[in-house]
Order: sequence, then structure tokens, then C-alpha cells
Amino acid sequence: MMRWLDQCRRAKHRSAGGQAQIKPACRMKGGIALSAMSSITPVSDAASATIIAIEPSAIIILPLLDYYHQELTPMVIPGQTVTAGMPVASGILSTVDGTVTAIEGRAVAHASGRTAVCVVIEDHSLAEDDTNAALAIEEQHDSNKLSRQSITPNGSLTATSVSTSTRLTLGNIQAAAIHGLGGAGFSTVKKLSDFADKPIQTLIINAVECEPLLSCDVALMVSDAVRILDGIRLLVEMLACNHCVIAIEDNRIAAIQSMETALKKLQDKQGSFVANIKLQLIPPVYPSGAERMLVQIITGMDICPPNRPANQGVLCLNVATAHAAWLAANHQPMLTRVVTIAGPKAAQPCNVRVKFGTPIRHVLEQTGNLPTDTAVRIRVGGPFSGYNLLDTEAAITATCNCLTLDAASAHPTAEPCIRCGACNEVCPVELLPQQLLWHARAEDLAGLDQFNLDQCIKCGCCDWVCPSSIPLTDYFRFAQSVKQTREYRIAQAKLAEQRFQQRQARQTARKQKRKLDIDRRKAELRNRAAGKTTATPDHADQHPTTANGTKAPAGTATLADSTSAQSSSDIPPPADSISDTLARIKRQRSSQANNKK
Amino acid sequence: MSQLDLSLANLPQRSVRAIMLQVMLALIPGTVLYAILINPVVLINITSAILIAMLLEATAVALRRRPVKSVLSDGTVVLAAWLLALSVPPMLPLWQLMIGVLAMVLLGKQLYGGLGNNPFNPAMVGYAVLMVSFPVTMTGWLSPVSGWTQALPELSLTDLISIKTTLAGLADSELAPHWDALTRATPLTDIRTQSARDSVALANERRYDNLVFISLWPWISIAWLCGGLYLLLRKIISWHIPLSVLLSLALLHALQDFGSASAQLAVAPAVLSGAAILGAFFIATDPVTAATSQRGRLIYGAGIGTLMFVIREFSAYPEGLAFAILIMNAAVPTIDRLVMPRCSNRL
Amino acid sequence: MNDILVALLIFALAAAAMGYVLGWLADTPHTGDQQAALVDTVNALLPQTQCAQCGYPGCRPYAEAIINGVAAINRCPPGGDQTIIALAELLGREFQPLDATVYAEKPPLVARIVEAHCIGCTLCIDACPVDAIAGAAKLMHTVIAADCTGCELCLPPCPVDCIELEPVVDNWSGWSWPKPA
Repeated sequence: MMRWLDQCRRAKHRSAGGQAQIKPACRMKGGIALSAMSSITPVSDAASATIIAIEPSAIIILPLLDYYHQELTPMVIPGQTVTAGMPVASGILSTVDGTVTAIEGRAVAHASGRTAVCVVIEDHSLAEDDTNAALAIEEQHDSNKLSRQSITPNGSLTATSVSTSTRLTLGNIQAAAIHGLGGAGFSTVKKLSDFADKPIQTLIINAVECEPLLSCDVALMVSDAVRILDGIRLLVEMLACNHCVIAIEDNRIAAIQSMETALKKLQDKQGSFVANIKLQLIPPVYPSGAERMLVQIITGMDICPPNRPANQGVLCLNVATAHAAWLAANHQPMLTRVVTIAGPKAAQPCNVRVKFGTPIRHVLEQTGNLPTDTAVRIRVGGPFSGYNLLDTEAAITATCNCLTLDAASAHPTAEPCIRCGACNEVCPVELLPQQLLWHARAEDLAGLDQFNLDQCIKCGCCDWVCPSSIPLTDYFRFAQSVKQTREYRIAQAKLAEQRFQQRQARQTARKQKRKLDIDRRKAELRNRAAGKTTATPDHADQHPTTANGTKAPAGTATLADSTSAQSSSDIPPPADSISDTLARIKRQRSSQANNKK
Repeated sequence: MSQLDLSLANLPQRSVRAIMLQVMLALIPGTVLYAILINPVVLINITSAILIAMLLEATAVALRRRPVKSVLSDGTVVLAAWLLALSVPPMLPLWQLMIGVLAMVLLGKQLYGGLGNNPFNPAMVGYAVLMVSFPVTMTGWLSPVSGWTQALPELSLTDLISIKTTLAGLADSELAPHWDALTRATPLTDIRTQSARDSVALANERRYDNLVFISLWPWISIAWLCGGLYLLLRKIISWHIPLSVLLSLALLHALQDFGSASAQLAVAPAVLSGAAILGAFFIATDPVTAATSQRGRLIYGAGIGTLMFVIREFSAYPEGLAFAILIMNAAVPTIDRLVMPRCSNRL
Repeated sequence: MNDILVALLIFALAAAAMGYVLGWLADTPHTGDQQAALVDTVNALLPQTQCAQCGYPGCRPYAEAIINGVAAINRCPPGGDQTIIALAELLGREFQPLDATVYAEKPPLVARIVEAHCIGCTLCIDACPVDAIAGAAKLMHTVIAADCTGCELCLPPCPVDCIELEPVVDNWSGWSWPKPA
């Protein structure tokens, strides 16, 4: 607490002109204060201030998976030449100029270590003379509206003046395939278009790092604050929202200074328009970088799924998304992201700009972080919400915000829960993890629902404080999986039942109709036989003589059918057709009998 | 494969074992004071109870085919044995104490599946079994004022130990002449019996001067309080249970005092005597058997305080901590169910 | 002595009578509505493969048979142990392992028609309980994998044995987190 106050004071003191607001509207419940984890220190200010560039990789691997891990259909074929910014599947852009060499299963960055179908692209710029090839391809694919004039092969941007005439549209964002660059990687287009009819009052720019170890957003803010702010301005214009709050942790002083300077510059240039863009410092408590938590801190509203912030007039976008929005407004697709490389075993902790699809091994090699020791574990994401990478050939995706290198250590064995309640106190969404644990172990879905498992954001705070070292979050992930699988099965079963019932209804209807037909034909034949007077119905098929049907049937058995029989007997069917029908009926009957056996 | 990476964590005292060690650390001043002021035999009680409890736990765990070493090293059984030995009268024969330990470890803990699965506080289960089995020795407290000082010249420590180790305990011992001195009741019992027969004025005079404040119990209670405050400071326990236990107890005693001018305990002595402080900070806060939410803990604590008052005032037992805790333990699932943490302005 | 016997007798009779009443109350649904609701609940627990391996023509008939006390709860191979446990819990019956007279428990399956061999006889289309086979006479048929329940009912009628059952391809959305050890 004292430390936080101290940091606030320091940040306030240092901030130019004191633009930043110190006190947020609301406090997040629970969470873990950064001061409580002294061993997790972010990359130093100096290291985080710069974003280093690396040599491009020879191949680019783009997994054909969307946010929900649904497989996507490729829009390219092997052998096809692609340019940077050209879509290879819905929402996935090629990040280099090159040739598609294969569309095949490759390891992807995912906790399961599974393979997924990926588009593999060989980079032309390495094989041939850079500029010529790029230009040639550009001419070829003129139809592609995205021009790449100001983006170098590394993805770093050449200085362009901030123009006021550019406008941002949803179309721009879609063309640039902007994904959220936090931990989730939700499509920004979807986020914006799902609630296109809802007025957005508040735009929150999430400049809070997802995890304490990360500094990729900080690095971006330090190096490119002007563009970020211009991107924010464009977003505010596009959404026509009243307020915009940029939330930064108050201990990221370099970023705060950079943003304040840039904001001042923008205000000088734009005047009153940007008056409603504000910087908001928030205490560095994990997980305030999570969207739901940040919205709560800034607005005081706890908006829990399936409700979305946009329903309440709030939109939360990552600071890197604002940067990408600026690029999109200038017709540049989102092809890169900043990745933090950190952790106790990282030789050279740094922030590096990486093209999507670059193999992780390549990134580590180029930054001098490739571990030689097998005891080093590589994690994608930070210590809380990351997962162990099983194959370094997997590619960087929008959600790979951090590569953590640390010593491989076995998780301490879980002891029994002593119900100490430490997990209840740190849970930022006010769940009861220890109660959930009971139900998760028993796979009791009703109990899990009762304790709101769906609300769990899997931040890992409960694991952190558990004195019995119980992997609670793993249990919750597992339980959510079980729930989803079971719900899916139930839905499938319902569908199957529906189809079965429809089929049955159809069959009964058909059977009834057939029975009516048979009865009618029988009645007809009987009529005719009665007309003949000598023939018995049994030998009706042996006497296929035409009857005029004027004589009424002897019995009253088929009285109900008599009308239809009479009406149809107005035009008597030919003799051989009747015999055919009877033969068919007999066949069907015998086959039905066979079926019953 | 856990998703959380603990190799990056620094967790200074966040393990069951570390928590238990902190609690034991907090028990030391009170225990030492108890041994000096009341009876050094308590140390023998504690040591033997811990040893037997560990032995029983090891056997039970081995029979259940669980890793013995890790279960023993978590320290929970040591703490429980310590607390049981502190809550019984120091002159309780050892064999009776062992029965209590047996009930504590087996009946209170292992039969339910060990740590984390027991609905009732094991130490209090042991205490309750002793209380209903050996009511005479379990209420035979060495009166601090008269008993100790009078008995001391005639009884050496070895004598005391020999009394304790004699199978039959006090009754059979050759120190029968000191019986009266040894079995004086705790101040609470004193007041109960005295208030019945003495005049109001006499009792009033006695209760303030002779019995409670002059007696040494409050000092020990203050030592427990110090230990408890240390635990609060280290965030080993939360303030909810101790506060609500003591507050409800004090409030009810105050109401009673206010309502009648009869010879009853005043508030401060009532809270400082008996096992109120020890129970509020060390026993009721056992996380396994307490309510889990903060509001739930307040209710749980208030329930214990109220029941303690009720048992003290309206039952045959002089002190009601054990039964109050056991009854509230039984109510914990209901409390947890009823008091789910509300979610503020959730949309 | 006599008094004791009388008392014992009275209590025994009373206990038996009350036990019977309680058991009857607990076991039997009394109105048609209740029974129908129970059938619905049981039906919801069944996997709806309509495979008839239980000996009843579809899942609902089996559910009805269970409620009427005719069928055991352990006759559903596609549901496996999970379904049996759920049914046992719902109906307060004992858990029984899967009936050995029905097929052994299998992983989720999906049928596939070997297209080269298909003669377009439409027999499998008639057999499929959930309309998961598309095709027409003398034209190649194909299984709509998303709708196939893997019930195997299409196997016997096929005159050229061109239908194969394969384990359901484990797609990404079907992946689930492992239970922590």
C-alpha cells in the first residue's frame, strides 16, 4: 500500500504538467499487488524503451485457426505467390511477400502442443533482391488495396507525418485484419461490428500490461506514442465517443512520460477536440490488464460475460490495437507485434518486433536467447497465464505477447485444501475458488454453475496464493472443458433426436398413406369383384377384367373409403396397372415381414 | 503440468507448514507464561500429546496408504495436539489426555479422510470426548490463587509428575490431603458456585478483587492475545473470527450485567477468563472447519461467542468453548451456502 | 414378556408399513404427467444415437422402458458408464456395469461410405435413424459426418459392405484440458 502511494507520488511528480489522473474510479477486488511479487520484475526501463528488430525468417507459418480454435479454409493454394497483407484465410494475412510452399499440419503455439493446418510461406525477400521482388509482386497484385510503402521488411515504420486528413473506417480495420494484441487475440472487427448499433460513450485504451513480467505495451508507448495517440484520435472520431481513457500502470514511468508528451503535442495541434482523451494511472495490481477488470477499475461497472462492455457503452481496446488502427487508417495491414522476451533464464531480455508466423526458435535465435540448456523451459505468455511451449518451431501469433524463459521445475505436489480462503480474497471476479475446486474435482456441473465457473477469467491468482500448492486454475480450465464438451454432446444429442423424430413422423405419415391407398385399392377391387358377382376377392388378380363399378359393395366394411373409391373409379385404371400394384404391395409386405424377423 | 509457474514466485510463508509454524510460534509466549504462572506440568502434557498424536497420525496415514512424511511434516497434527493439551486442566491424568488425543486424531481427523476433510475441529472433538467421559478430572482445575501457592511448598515438580503419571490420577495418589488445593475450579466455576450461595455484596467484592483480576489467568489471556495479534499482523488469520467471537461474548455479558445487578462477571474479566481469547484466536480460526467467506466468518464467530455465553450461563459446564465451536462447525456448510459473497454492481 | 412382544410386533408392523409407503412414494411416479416428465428427463440423459442396441427402437422407447421398470439402466453402449451413472443417480438405482449382452463400450464413431464401392442401392439411407446419409438410387451415397451418430445401423443392410466406422476425428474445438493429477 505504502509502496503504491509512493509510486503514485513519484509518477505524479515526474509527469509533465500533471495531466495524468492518479486515482481511478474504482478499485479492483482481489488481485495481487506487484509489490507482493518482488521476484517478478519487468524488463528494466532501459531495455523496455527500445523495440529491437530482427532479421526476417526464411519461412512463415500461419496457423489456420480462428479465435475459437475453429479451423479456417485456406484461400490460397501451394505454389501461389502471395504478398504481405494478402489474406490467406478469413482474417489471416500473409506477413511476407513469398510463395506458399505447403498447407499442412504444423506445431502451433498452444498449451496442448497439437498440430494444426498451417499455411507455410517462403519469404522471397531473402532469396532474391529485396526491393525488386517486392515491387514486382506489388505490381502484380495491384488489386490488393493495402499499400506497403512505409513498412520496411522488418516491420518498423519509417517516419511519416501525422496527417489529419486520414480517416479510419471499419473497412480499414477489416482490411488490416486487426486482432486484439492482448492475451486473447479477439478480432477487433468483430468487437466493433457486433455492437455497431450501440453508441459507445467511453473508449478505454488498455495500456496496462497483461502480466507483471511483460513490457511490450510499454515499449510500444515509449517508442511510438505519437502514432498511438493519433490512432486513438482516429478511433474516437470513428466511434464518436464522448470520453477516452488511456489506462497505464503508475509504475511504468517511461511510458507515462512518453504518452503525456505525445498527448500534449496532439492537443496543441488538434486543440479542443482531444480534450476528452485522458491518461489514467492505476495501481499495478495483477490482473488489472484483463479487459473485464480494467473496465471495472475505470468505470466502476463489473460487466460479466455473456454481457459485453459495449452493451454498457464502453469499449476496451489494447494500446497496440490503437497503434494498428493508425496503420490501418494509413492502409497498412497489421503484420507484426511486439513480443517481450523475459524471465530469469533469458540471456538478453528485450522487446522485439516480430512478424506473425515467425517460428519462435528464429525469434529466440535472433535475439540471442535460444537456450542451450535443456533445463530451460520456454513459456508463451507470462508466469500467470502462460503455457509451456512444447515445440519451438511453432509460430508467433497475435496472442504471443511474451516468451518467458525460466528453469524447468516441477510443480510442488498439491496438498489437501485447508479452506484457508486465501483464494477467495485474491479472486478478482469474486468467485470462491475453493468451493469450485470441490465441484471441479467431482466434475459436478450443477455445482460449478452454482458457483459461477463461467465467470472465471483464469488469471491464476488463486494458484499463486494457495498454501497447499493446488493447481486451481488448471482444474477450472479442465472443468470448463468438461462443461463445454458435455454441452456440445447434449446439443448434438438433441439434434439427433430431432432428426430421428422427424424421420419417424415422416415414416408414419408415409405408412398411413400407403395403408389408405391399399384399403382404397382393395375396396375398388372388391367393388369390381362384386360387379362380376362370380369372382371372389381372393382371385381378383386372376381376373383382371375391367369392372364398371356401378354396383355398390355388398358389405359396409369399406363405407368410409367408398367415396374415394367411387371418385377414383370414375376413370378406371387399366387392368395391368392394378395387378402391378398388388404385386408391389405383396412384395412390400413380404419384405416388411422379413424386416420384422 | 501446471500452467502457473511457481519457479518465479517468492512465497515467503505460503505453505500449510509455514502457516502452522507461525501459529505455533504465536502460541509460545502464552504457553511459557502458563507453565510459569499456573503449572509447569502443562509442558509435559503438550510434549506427550504431540508425540502420541504424531505416532497415531503416522499409523493412521500409513494404514490409509498415504505418504506419511509429507502428512506429518505439515504440522497440523502438532498444532492440534498442542491446543488440546492447553485446553485441558493441567492435572488431568496422562492416560486420559491420551484418550483425548486418540479421539482427536482418529475420530476428529483421520476418519474423515485427514487434513481438509474434517468437518469438526479435531482438538475440540478430543476435548469434547474427554469432557463427557471424565467430567470430574476435566473440571478439576488448579486454582491459581489459593491452590498453587498453598500446594507449592508441599509439592515438588516430581510429585506433580508422579501424580500425573499414576494411572488413576489424583484420586489414588498419596497426596490426597492436597486434593482440595489441587482441584479448585477455574475462576469461572468459582463464580458460578459462589454467586449461588454468597450475598451479592460479597460476591461483588470477591469477583473483582480476589478471583479474577488477582488471579493469573488474565495475564495468560493477554499472552494469547499478543500471539493472536501477531498472527493477525502476519495475515495468517483474518480478523473476522476473533473479533466477532470476542465482541459477541462481551456484548452478551455486558447486556446481562446491565440487566441485572446480580453477582455475575463483568465484561472484561469474562472475556479475559476461561478459554475465550485462546479459542477466539487459535482454535476457532482453524480454517478447515471455519466458514470461508468474510461475512460467513463473522456469522460463525458471532455464533461461537453467543453459544459460549449461553453455555457458560445456562448449562452445567463452566466453559463452553469446545461445544460452541463444535456446534458452529456443524453449521458451517449452511453458513457457507447462505452467505455466498455478493457481487457488487455486476452487470 | 408378553408386553414386550406386543410392543415389538406393533413397531415392526408399523415400520414395515411405513417403509412400504415411503418406498412406494419414492419409487413410483403417480400421474401420467409425472411419468412423462420422468421419461423426458431419462431421455435427455441418453445419447440419442437411436442405435437400438439396447433392444428398443430408439432412445425414447428405452427411456419409457426404464421408467416402466421393464429395462435395466445398463443397456446403452454409446452412453457408456457416464450415462449409467447419471441414470443411477437420477433414479436412485444401483450402478451396474454395462450389460455384456449388448455391445462393448466404444469410442465415438462416425460412418464413412467407401465411395468406390457404393452401388447406390439406398438401403443404408432407409436404415439410418437420423437421416445422416445423403444419396439417391443408382447414385453414390455419402455420410453427413456432422449428423452421424455412429449407431452402426447402416452396416447390415449394405449389400457390398462399403460402409466403415471410424473414430470421430478429434478436431480443435473438441480438445479439452486434461484433469490435473
